[in-house]
Amino acid sequence: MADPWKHHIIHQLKLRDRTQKIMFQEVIRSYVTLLEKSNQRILIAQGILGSAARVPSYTSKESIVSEDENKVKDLKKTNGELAYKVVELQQEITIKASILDEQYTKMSELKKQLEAAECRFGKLQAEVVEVRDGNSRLKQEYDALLRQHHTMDEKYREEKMRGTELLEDMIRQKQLAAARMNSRNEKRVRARVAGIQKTVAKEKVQECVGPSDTLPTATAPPKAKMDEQPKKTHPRPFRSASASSPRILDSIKELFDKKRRGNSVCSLEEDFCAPMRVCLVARVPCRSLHVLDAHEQGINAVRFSSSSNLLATGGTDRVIKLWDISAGTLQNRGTLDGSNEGITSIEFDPTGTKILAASYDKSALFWRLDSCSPKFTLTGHSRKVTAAKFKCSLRQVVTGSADRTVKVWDLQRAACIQTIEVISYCSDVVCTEYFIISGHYDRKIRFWDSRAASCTQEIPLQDRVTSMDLCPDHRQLLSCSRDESLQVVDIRMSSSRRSFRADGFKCGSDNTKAIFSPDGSYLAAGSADGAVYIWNVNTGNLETCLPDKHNSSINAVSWSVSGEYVVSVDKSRRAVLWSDI
Amino acid sequence: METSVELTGSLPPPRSRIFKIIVIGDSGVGKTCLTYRFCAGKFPDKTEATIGVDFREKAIEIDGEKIKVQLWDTAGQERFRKSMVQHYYRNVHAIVFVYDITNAASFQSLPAWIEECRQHSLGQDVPRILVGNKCDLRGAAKVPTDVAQKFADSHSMPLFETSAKSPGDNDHVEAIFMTVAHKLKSQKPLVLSQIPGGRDVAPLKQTEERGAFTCAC
Repeated sequence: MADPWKHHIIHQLKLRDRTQKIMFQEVIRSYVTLLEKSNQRILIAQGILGSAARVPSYTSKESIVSEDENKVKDLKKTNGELAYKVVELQQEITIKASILDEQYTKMSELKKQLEAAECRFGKLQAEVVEVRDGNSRLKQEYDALLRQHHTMDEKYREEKMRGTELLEDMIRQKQLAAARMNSRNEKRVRARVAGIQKTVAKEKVQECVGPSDTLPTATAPPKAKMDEQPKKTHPRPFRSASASSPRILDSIKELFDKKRRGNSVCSLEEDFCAPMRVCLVARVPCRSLHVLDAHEQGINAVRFSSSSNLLATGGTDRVIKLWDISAGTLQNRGTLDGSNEGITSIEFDPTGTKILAASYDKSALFWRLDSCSPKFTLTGHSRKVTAAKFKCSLRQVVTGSADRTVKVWDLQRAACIQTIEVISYCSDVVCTEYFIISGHYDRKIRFWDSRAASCTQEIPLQDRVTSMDLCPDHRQLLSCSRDESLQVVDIRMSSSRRSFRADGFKCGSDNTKAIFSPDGSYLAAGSADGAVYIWNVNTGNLETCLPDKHNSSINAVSWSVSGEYVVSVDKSRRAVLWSDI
Repeated sequence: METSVELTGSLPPPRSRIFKIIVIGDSGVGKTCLTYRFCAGKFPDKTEATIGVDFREKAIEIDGEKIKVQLWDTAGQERFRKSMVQHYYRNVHAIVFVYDITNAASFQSLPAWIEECRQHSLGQDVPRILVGNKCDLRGAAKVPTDVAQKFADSHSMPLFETSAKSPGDNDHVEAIFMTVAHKLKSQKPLVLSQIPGGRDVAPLKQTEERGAFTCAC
């Protein structure tokens, strides 16, 4: 329906327009410029002719003027504002400029400072380097000095050790010298006495020959004798009745008694004869000589006399039995009774004439073997007494007890003179000249100054202490503890400790007793398996083990002072005598 | 050892009596000097701490009887003496306590020394004397004579103040020990009955002689 021809015409027209337009382009352009120019001319003409032209429209002119005036006003106003702003801005500019100046100066100052600081920094760094160098040098020096110090220290210690060794040597020699001097004095006195006795004998003969001549001189001595007699017999408990014996016999007797002479019941002089009996060599036993059931019940303690082969055993059956060794067997020599409960420990005094025992019945008991005087009992502990030992002065006794006290007793008065609270169950005590040493269930050995009753030292162990023993020279302390080991501690330097163990050695009870051999070179202890173990102190090795004779746990062992015999006792009332032959 | 040399040179004849006298007191009070002064007659040039004990002997003659005075110069320092003490007191005939008059502590520890003697079961019959040494330093004296005298009286000992150093006191030092020797001699006369237990009779004798045995100061 569309009119294709219209389209066609349009198309044709457009085509003609396109093709013919280009030809007139230039004309049109120049026409337009011309037109513009003519327009300008018209405008100029109008301007020139304006006044004439404006007259006819006066009102409009006026409004234009007012309008213009307004505009002018506005413009002026804006102009003023702008001028003001300009002024303001200028002021700002000057302020800013001054600030800028200031900042410039500041900056320059800071720059200077920075420079100075940098300079200083550089210097300091140099210093640091220097100091570091110095430090490293010092450190080296210090290290060198430290090394030197170490070596010196070691040397010092060595020298100190040597010094103490030398000192000990010297003291030992002095001791020997003193002992020699004493014995020489004694010998001399004896020789004198012997000489005088000869003269006495002679005088006696003379007395018989001519009593009338010598009567005044001869009567004098017996009189003096009579004065003396009661005094002498009293302080000497060891003497048998000698008042009626002849004078010479008496004086000879006294010669024998000489060592025991003293003013107190247990004088120190008795002690002096003890060190005379020194065992030179202990012989390590190798076989059993005699096995017997010594008590009715278990045997807790055994001890050789410190002067002979006399042996005492104490058992749960409340008695102490005395034994002698003859022909390789143990011969019963007597029984000491008096304890109300089992015996826990036994000790002989150095003369071998007194026995001290500790008992379950909360007391310690004291017998004299050389007189028929009754035993006496030291009571005061509130639980079982585990150990009773003579103090070095011998007039005193020290006891340790399960009631956590150590008591010191005066034997003359049979009274407790000191009680030391020891904190823990005390299983054993030993005494040196200046210390009481106690072993405890709290795994400690404590040293007590025997004068001040203050604890001076504690030695910790691995387990409960069951017993202790002193080396005969009182320089080493042996302790047995439940960790199946024996410890030997140097008393003067408790830091030096040695431990002795053995495969199979087991501490059988809380009161198993280990001992030193009488020459101090072996340790002996009985084990739970019924074997006696003997260690060499010097090498630290197990010397021997003596099995098979006991069927139960060994409670205690003892080594005779002569060094020949060892006796072990066990829980099932058996005692075994060991020897090396 | 110095001591053994001293001794071997002068072994007494077997029949002469020996008096063992121990000299005890704090360390540094001059025990060594005192004994040396008595035995050698001079003040030792230089002494060191005595270790254990030193022996000094001097032969003297009293009333025609030759007597050996055996002085035991004991160590004052505990560590040098602790294992020796029992030897000191064995069969001792007399004890000389020494203190330093310029050292109050040495005087104050005298009771401890006396107690040690007592602990070693020495009866009152063993003569004891108290010697205050270093009198040459009288100006620095810290222990007044009257205090010392009172102490000595309370323990019934005679007191002597002397100096082992000052040369004029030679006779004095000797006199002190001679007094002791006289005392011992008179206490143990050669009477038959008293041989074995000479010391036991002493108390009787001592009471008789106390008057004669007084302080020389």
